[in-house]
Amino acid sequence: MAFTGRLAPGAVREWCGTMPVHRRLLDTDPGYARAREEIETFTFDAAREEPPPLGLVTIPTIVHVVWSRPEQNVTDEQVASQIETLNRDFRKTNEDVAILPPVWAPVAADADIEFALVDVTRTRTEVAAFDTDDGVKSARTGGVDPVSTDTHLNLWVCQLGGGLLGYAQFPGGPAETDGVVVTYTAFGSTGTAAAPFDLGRTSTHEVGHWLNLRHIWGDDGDGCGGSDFVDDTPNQGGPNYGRPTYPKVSCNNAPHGDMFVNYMDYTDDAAMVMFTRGQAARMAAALRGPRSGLLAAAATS
Amino acid sequence: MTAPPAALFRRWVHVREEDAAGVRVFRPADRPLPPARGRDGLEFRAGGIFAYLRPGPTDAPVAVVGRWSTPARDRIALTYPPDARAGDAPTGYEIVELTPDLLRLRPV
Repeated sequence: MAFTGRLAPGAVREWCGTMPVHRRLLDTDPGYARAREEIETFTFDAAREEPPPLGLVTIPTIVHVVWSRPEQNVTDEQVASQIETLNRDFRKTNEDVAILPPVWAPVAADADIEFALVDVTRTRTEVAAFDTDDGVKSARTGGVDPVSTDTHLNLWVCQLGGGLLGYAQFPGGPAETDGVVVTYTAFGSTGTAAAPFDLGRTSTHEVGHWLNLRHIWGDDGDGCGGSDFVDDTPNQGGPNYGRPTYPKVSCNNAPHGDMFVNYMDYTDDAAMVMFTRGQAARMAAALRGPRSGLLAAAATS
Repeated sequence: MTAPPAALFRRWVHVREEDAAGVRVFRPADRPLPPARGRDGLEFRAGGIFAYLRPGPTDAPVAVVGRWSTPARDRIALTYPPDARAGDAPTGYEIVELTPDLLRLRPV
């Protein structure tokens, strides 16, 4: 896990520029750590109580296109292709779910969540590539501020640096940075979207985080001790990349092995095709709890 | 102790698709890089501090900060804080190649 102690104070401060968002918030904002604990307690209780289904929840979505080169100013058509992918993936209407090894078909879930595009903002910037310091999320740093984060998903599209495809913010973080960021070559399924990240699955993965999903391998490196707090995903060593072939075994999870077809692994867009029922329940708990503003907004719209 | 070349002191991103024969290939983080789901990286700083960067729980890189030393020419030894080293993180490298655009390291 991340470590920032036992160094000269100056060294720690100096390193904050490269600190990850989640870790930076945990280290610098005691309220965030407390909020995350409360959200996990709520989610655990919600899973145990098995509350009645929420029914279809539609999330109003705002896409912020932030560009310095013309090709980064992705078209409305490309934005629409991304919204369509999100809707297919979160409703299990994606045709490529057919590639699932049969053993996992019974746990593949319709999360009963849809996304309605309500606005596209376009901002020209002097920033050649954004880092994970949330610069794209503020007009002061060359990006654009989010809108109504308690009732909307904010999705920024820009050039990310370091070869990064995207990053998210869990529920419980600061409103002023709430949302997900996706690099413009992994956004949607047309235009600038480039293989093997050209099917819009980066956004599916990041919105999964935004609705409180963890990586399927449990974020413990390649170890077998981490958990994604979901019961119907197999224990898995580290992330999978590319397009693995079934079965790919780790952590004594034979015969079926890693669920590398899950949106919360690190496989190519063409290889990830499902959320599980447990993941859908965890997202529903996020909607009942820390993201209940979305439910309230849906009820009044 | 020998001082490593100054070119080492920057942030490097692991371009794992270029790895070959047990040697890891790194490129400067501030240059255009092919996107990938989950790249790890290294950042070396003068004064003996390094960071091992790996994708965190929301995909932004997480830094584990430790100390480097150079026990021999073309060797880097890495010391992690207690309990901070991921199981697969190397504790030392042989510098196979170092240019302003490329760093090739063999875990030792």
